[in-house]
Amino acid sequence: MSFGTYEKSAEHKHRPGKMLGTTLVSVLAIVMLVLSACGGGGGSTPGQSSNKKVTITYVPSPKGDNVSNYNPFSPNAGTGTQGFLYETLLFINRYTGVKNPWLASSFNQSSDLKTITFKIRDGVKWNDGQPLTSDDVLFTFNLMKTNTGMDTNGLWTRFIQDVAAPDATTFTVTLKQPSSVAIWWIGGGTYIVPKHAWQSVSDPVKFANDQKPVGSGPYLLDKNTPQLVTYKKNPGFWQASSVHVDQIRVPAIKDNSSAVLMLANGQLDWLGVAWDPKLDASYTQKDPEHLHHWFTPSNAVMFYMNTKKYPFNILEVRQAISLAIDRDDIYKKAAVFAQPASPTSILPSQKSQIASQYADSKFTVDTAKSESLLQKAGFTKGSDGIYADKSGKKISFNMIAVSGWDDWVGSTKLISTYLKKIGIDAKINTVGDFTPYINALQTGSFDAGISWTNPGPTPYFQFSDLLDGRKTAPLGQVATVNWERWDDPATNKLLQQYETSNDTAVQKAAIDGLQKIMVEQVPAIPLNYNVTWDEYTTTHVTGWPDEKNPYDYAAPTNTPDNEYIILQLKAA
Amino acid sequence: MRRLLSRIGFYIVALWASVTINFLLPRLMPGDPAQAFLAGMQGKSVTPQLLASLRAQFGVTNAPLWQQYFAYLNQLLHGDLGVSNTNYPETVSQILATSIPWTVGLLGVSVIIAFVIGTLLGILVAWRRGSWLDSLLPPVMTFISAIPYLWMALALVYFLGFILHMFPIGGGFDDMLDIDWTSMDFISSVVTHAILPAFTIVLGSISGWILVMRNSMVTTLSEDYVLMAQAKGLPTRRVVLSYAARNAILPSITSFSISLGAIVGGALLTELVFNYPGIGYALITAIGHQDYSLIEGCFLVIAVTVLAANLIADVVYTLLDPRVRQERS
Repeated sequence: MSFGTYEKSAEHKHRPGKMLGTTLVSVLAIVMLVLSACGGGGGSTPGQSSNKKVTITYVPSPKGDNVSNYNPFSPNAGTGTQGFLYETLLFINRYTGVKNPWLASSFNQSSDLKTITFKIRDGVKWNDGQPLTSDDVLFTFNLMKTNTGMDTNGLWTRFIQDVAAPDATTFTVTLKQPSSVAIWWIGGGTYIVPKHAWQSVSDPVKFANDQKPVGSGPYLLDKNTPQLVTYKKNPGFWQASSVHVDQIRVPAIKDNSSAVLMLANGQLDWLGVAWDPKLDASYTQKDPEHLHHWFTPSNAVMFYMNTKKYPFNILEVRQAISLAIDRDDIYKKAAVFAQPASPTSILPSQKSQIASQYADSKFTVDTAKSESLLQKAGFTKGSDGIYADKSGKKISFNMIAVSGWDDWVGSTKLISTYLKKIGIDAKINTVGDFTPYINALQTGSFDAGISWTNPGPTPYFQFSDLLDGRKTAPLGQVATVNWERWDDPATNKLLQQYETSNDTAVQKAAIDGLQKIMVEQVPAIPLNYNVTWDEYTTTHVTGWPDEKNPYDYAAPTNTPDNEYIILQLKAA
Repeated sequence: MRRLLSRIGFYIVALWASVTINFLLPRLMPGDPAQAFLAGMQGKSVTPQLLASLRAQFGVTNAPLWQQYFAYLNQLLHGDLGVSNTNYPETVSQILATSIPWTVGLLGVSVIIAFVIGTLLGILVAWRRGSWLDSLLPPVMTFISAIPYLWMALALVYFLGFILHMFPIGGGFDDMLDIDWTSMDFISSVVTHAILPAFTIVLGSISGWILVMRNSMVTTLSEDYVLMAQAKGLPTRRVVLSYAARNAILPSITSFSISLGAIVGGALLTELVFNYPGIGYALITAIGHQDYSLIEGCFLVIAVTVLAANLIADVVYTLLDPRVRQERS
C-alpha cells in the first residue's frame, strides 16, 4: 500500500475531475508565472508574526463566500458550527470506531437495548457562562421532535420513543425497538444547543444563529464576514488545556484551483481538495518538511446495477460483469488514487472485520468464466458478438456518468470495453451535471453506473445504506439510499441481527454473513476505494493524523472530527 | 401617447414570457433543488427525512405545475425569489441585493464614462474630419477594442497589478477590512479596487462610441441646415452641439440605453477576471453549484432591467426625435 496513491473522497463537495481538469493546470500555469513574477511579494503567512498566538487557516472545501449560518441543524451550516461551536454527547471516531465520552462523561445501554442513559459531564459551561445540564439535552431532542425539519437524521421517525431528564446530570432515551446502532446518531451525531438561547427562537429550522452563537465547543465566533470567518479560543471550554490553537481563520475561497495556489503559498494549513499527482511538484516537493498530504481510503466505490431491471435481476449477469472488470487497469488508467477494493467492500481501516474466508481474497479478471456464466443463464452469443436471451433480447444497457467527473467517466469507459469483450453491450450515458445523475439513481431510472457508499464507524453502516431492503423504494419513487434496490429477506435479517444485538460475536456473524452476500450475490459490484482528501501543513502546528499516527480520518469536512483533530494539535 | 401605450403593452407581454420561461426551464430538468443540494453530501447517509426537510425548506412541492406556476407568480409579485440552495438560508433577494450595487456601481460609472468621453471624442474627430486626429484616433481605438476583452483584462492585471503593484489584482475591496460605508479606509479600498476593472471596461468599449458618433456626425455635418447654420455665422460650438450633434446622437442613445440595461447583467468577464463581487460573479458561482433559484433570480433581474432599459430608450427616443412622435399619431 504505497502512500499517496489513492483517489477522491466522496465526502468532498467538488468531485475531483471536475476541478482538476485542464482548467486547473492551465490556470496554475498562468498564475504560477505571475506569482513567480511578483517574487517575495506574496508570502506573508498569518501566525508567523512575532506574537506567540497560534493561528491556523482552515478550509474544508472551497465553495465561495462563507454563509452566515451557525445553526448546527442546518444542512448548510457554516464551517466550524458543528464541532468548534456545538458538540455531541459522544465523539464516535469514524476511523477507529471508538466511542469517546464527550459532553456525556459516560453512557450505558440497557441489556434489552431499549434504553440509553447518558451521564452529562460535570462542569461544562456554555460560552455565556451558564452551565450545560441534561435540561439542555432534553430541550435539543424535543426541538427536533417538534420541528421535523431539524431532525434530518430521522431520529424520532426511526429510533426514539421518548426522552427524559430525571435529574440535572442524567439524560435517558427510550427507543422504539432494540437498537445497538442508534447511538451513532443519538450520541455521535446530535449537536446539543442551549435551552436558554434557543427556546425563544420562533423558527429554529431557519434560525441563522449568527449573533454571538452560544455553544459549548472550544471556539467562539469572532469575525463573521462573507470573505473571512475567524474563531477565537473559548476560555471557558471544558477541555481548555487541550486547546493549543488560539485562532482559526476560515477564508472564503472560490474554487479548488485558487485553494491549491494558496496552499502552495503556505497560506492554508488544512484543506480538503481533490488532488492531482501533477500538483505534488508545486506543493509537497516545495517544502517536504512542512507541506503534507495524507490520502487514505475512506469510501468503497461501487458499480451499481438496477437489480429491479432486466438483465440485472439475473445473478449470473451480475457475476459475469464483476468478473470482467479489470480493477488494476482502472486504478492505473482512470482512478489513479483509488486502490482496487476487497470483494467484501470493507474499508482498509476496518479490515480486521473482514470474514476469515475472505481475508486474502482479491478480484481477478476471468472473462472465460464470465461467458460461461452467461451461457449457463441461457444467453447465446449472436453474430454481432453480443449475448442475447432465448427471445433474442440482447444484453445491452446504459451506464450513467456525470460529465466532468473524469475518474468515473474514465472508469465507465473502461468498463464498457471490458464488457464488450464478454459480449455485453454497455453504453456510457453522460449527463451534464449532478442533479440528473442523483435523480436517476434515487428514482431508479438508471440501468447501471458508478457511485459511492455511505461509510460509518463499523462496516454495518455501509452495508445498511447499501443493502437494506427497508430503505429502498419501488422504481419511480425516491430511494435516498440502496439505489440498486436490493431487497432480500436474508440480507434484511442479517442487518436486523446486527441492530438488535450488542454482542460482538453476534454482530461479527452478521457482518460475515453480509460479506458473503456481497461476494456471492453481487448486489453491487465493488470497484475501488476513494480516499479522503487531506492537505495540511506543519508550519504552525503539528499532531495531524497521518499514516504513522492514524487516529482518525483527517478529512477536514468530517464533523465533529474537526474538533477532535484540532484538540490534538500542538504549536510547532 | 398611443405609441407609448402600445410599447408598454409589448413590454408587459415580453416580461410575462420571460417570467414563464424562467419558471419552466428549471422544472423541465430532471431532479429538484433538494437533490442538487445533495451534491455536497456524497458519502453521508442521506435519510428520507433529510430530503423531506430540504424539499420543505427549498419550497419543492409535488403540486401540479399550474398550481406551482401561480404560486410562483404570487411569490414574484411579493418580491420573493426563493431561497438560494448553496447559500441557504440566505434568500435570493438578499444575495441579489448585496451583489447588484457592486455591479451597478462599477459598470454604471464605467459605461457612463465611456459613453461621455467616447461621444465627445466622436464629435471632435467628426468636426475635424480629415485632420491628423481623425486619421489617428479611430484606427487606434478600433485596434484596442479588437483585442479580446479577456486577454486585455488579464494583461492589464498582470502588468499593472502583479508587476507594477499599482492596483489590487481582484476583489471589490480589501478583504481585511469590514464592510463599512462610513469608513474612509473602506471607501478608498473600494475605489482602488474599482479603478482597474473600470479602466478595462472603458478601454474596451470607448471606440464603439467614438465610431458610432463620428460616422453619424459626418453624415449630419453634410446636411444643408448645418451649412446654413455656419453661413448664418453661428458660433462653432452651437453649430456642432445643437445643430449637428443633437441630430447625430440618436443612434448612440439607443445603444447607450441598451448598454445601461446590460449593466445589471454584469460584465461576466470583468467580474470573473477581477473576482468582483457583483451579479455576474453570483451568476457564475450559481451555475457552478447548480443553484437553480439563484440562477432564476439573476436571469429575472437581468430580463427585467433589459426590458426596462429598452422601454426607457423608447421614451427618450420619442422625446428627442419629433419624427417618431409624428409618424404614429
